[in-house]
Amino acid sequence: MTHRFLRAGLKTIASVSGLERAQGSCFGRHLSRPADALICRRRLRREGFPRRFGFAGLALGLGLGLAPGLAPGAPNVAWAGAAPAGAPAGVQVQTPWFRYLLASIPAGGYMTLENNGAGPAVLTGAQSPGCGMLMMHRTETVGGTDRMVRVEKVNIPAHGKLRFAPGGYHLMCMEPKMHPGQAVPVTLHFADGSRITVRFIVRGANGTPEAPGAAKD
Amino acid sequence: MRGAISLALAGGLTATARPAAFAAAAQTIDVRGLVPALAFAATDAQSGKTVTAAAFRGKIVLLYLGYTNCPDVCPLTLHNIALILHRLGKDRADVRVLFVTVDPNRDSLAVLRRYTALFAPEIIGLRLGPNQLARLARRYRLAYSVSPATASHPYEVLHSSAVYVFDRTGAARLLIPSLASATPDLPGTTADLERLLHGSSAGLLGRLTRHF
Repeated sequence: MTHRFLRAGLKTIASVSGLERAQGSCFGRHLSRPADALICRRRLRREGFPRRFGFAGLALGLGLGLAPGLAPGAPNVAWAGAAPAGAPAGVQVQTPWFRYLLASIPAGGYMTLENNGAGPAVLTGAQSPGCGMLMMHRTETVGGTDRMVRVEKVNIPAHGKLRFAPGGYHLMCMEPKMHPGQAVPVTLHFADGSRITVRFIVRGANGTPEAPGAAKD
Repeated sequence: MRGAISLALAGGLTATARPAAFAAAAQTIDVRGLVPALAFAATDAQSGKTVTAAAFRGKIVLLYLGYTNCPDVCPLTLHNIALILHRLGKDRADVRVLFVTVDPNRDSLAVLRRYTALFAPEIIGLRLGPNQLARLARRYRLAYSVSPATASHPYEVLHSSAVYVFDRTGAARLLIPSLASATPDLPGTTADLERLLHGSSAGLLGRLTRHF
């Protein structure tokens, strides 16, 4: 019986959220290879796009109807750019999103980290202007009980994926200053000193706008 | 570790329970006759008044222990319950979900009310004093513990994943070990609740009239 619970716990942690089927893309363009990402970045810059999508980028996204709020399932991909030698240059972040509940309650952050590099990448922390303190946590399911455990670092194996998904790893956004439909920048820090800034799409309590009774708080 | 209750919950139950008569979904366990009937007195977050199990006679009741400063498993569980309610359609009117906070020191009635309202109107936030909460948890072999923050350790809350289901008479019927899953058995769990909703106790007439 204990085994059943343990297995269930492991299954929960390892489970793939159905929401995270996104492919890498840059405004609808598929980016399955790093080379494509580079092309995309160059193209965006040529078109006067800021290196890190700023407010202008969001506004353009809205104008194109590709705004996070309108297409929350749409991929939101960032690559570690101009990283120092040995950095997780191939780390890609897919489908980053927050589950916003109430302003007084932490928001859980989720994403899929894909490491296309030859070496492991180690995520050591995150920060966001929309969060106050931002911590890495993991839900531990043991013997039919759940509790959250703080995590100092997360290893993303070479050529591997790691999911921050409900019931497993998650970011704890302690003082969420956000609303569903918005996109909030989060900077991920890696052990080698490199960083990636990604826009997390803010969803309501049910984690998906299609769900019945999606929060509009 | 005040209020810590350790549990031997479903471990003992599952081995023996699950009579073949009740074709419970793979993720639910038949606990009829093994777990005491629904009984409690708590403060209803909505009204601010004391409410007892008697107020829920005639409804199918789901019981889940959690807390609002829970951004991961509690929303996942409550969201999955909301999806089950959605699947039940009109029948959801006969279902109530009791979300009992295991963290009454931090969970005010106002926060509890706003938190549960995020998921579904049938979810009712309940707050019990420490002693009553301990008694409720012991009654249903549910575990919880609250460890306030120390210099070296953050505020930590532990709680059972389980959701109990009681029938219209208040008798315990099903144990859902966990709905904190990205791949819950929504059709199976919904079918189990439908069985309870339209069970033999309601009779053929009851079943027919419910459709008109």
